[in-house]
Amino acid sequence: MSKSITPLRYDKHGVPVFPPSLIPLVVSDGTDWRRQLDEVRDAYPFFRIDGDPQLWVTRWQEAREIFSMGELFSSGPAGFAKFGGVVPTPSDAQTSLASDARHREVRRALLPFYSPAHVRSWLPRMREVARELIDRLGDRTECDFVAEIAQYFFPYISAEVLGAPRSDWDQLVQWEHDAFLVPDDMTDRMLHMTTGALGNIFQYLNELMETKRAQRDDGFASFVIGLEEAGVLSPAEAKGSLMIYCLGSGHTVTSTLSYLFHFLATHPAERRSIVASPDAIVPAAEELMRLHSLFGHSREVTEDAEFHGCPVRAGEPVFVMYTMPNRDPLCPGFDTMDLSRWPNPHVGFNFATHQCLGMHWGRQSWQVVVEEWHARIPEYELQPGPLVEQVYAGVGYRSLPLVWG
Amino acid sequence: MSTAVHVDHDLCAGTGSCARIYPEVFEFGADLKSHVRDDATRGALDEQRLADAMQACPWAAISRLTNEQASS
Repeated sequence: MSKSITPLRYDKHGVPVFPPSLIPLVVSDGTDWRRQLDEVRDAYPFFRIDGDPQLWVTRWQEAREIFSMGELFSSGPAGFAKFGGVVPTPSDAQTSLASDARHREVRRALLPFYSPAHVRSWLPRMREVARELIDRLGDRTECDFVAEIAQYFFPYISAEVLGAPRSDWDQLVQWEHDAFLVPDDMTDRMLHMTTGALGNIFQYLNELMETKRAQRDDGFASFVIGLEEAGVLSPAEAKGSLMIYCLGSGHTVTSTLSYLFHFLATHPAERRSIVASPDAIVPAAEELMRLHSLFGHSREVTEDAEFHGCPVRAGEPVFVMYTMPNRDPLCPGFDTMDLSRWPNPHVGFNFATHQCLGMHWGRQSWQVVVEEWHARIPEYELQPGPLVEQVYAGVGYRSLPLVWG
Repeated sequence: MSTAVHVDHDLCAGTGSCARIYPEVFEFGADLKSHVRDDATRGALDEQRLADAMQACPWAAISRLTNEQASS
């Protein structure tokens, strides 16, 4: 193990404690931080960060079990509070969504807007939005793919599905972007999202709900209000569902598109092969998502227990940083990149009860953006220079300068 | 049995929730999706476990077919 990632010490159970520098907030010097975390995972199934109360879980099998064992590893209230705890979400949302059973009921109620069939019905409109964004580039031969395409594409789709007026979309995009930015003055190691942006989104959604109550449409906000009025969702669950909908739309597809297009720009042979076969796009994108995953999710231990030889205590937070299990060679095949891997058993969409509801939206977004971009700009390169990559919260490249022509 | 319980593979995302609850009925295929086992028999169904497995699916992919649907 590299000297730079030597544990500071071991806790009383033999779990290594690393300095906070193990996981940088942002890198801009090309540091291969994922490689460093690979070394940690290969050496230890669990670790701690000095000053951080969470037990970090590194391996694929253990991660799947944590996400599957809702009785021992609860998603809330700590998990839900952590996701939106700075927002004045009513307390019953934090508790009612805490149990896996209730969470499944809420999911089931929301599924009509997340099913593969419903997502497919949006394909033509998603293509239009992608083309509109690409058309904005005009005759230019360069762009910042993240700031001009990726940051807008799915948040625009999400805003339209929500039922937000077109005049509000850019403000929503900005808030959703800001919510996942790591603040410059961030001093601790917990996942935080910027309070101001979250508060703005929450207030906006409250106002939108009032508007939609008075005049329904076929958007997601009206759908959720209908569920609330039918007694399927509590008022707090309705607000929480809309909040998570917005936050889940904000940086997820943006992040995966940033890694996908970084790869395509720097691997022209693979790019041509993938683009030539539409069926190859989603498997390739999903494999790149496995290798460059979003941040992760936490759970809270419900009772004292031993988990894979590690004692865990009631109330203790545990955290899975997706990139670690997703690159775990103990999962057969994960030691090599396979752009045609399908199905792909990664946990980058979380797993089991809390598997990402927007998964099919994400996959269709990759397909649409890759197809529409390459129909217009088939050959391009990454402009040389350092890239700024956020490691915490909104993982991904903050900027991706592409040149063509 | 394979006609009495149906897994919608457009919806199934292979979370394994059903197989953990009722492995005598549900199993994973190479596609990492849940399949109804060939050797599961309708007469041996534990209705409560089947209901629990259906309820546990985060994608609501499992349905119980009516006799008419099963025979068609």
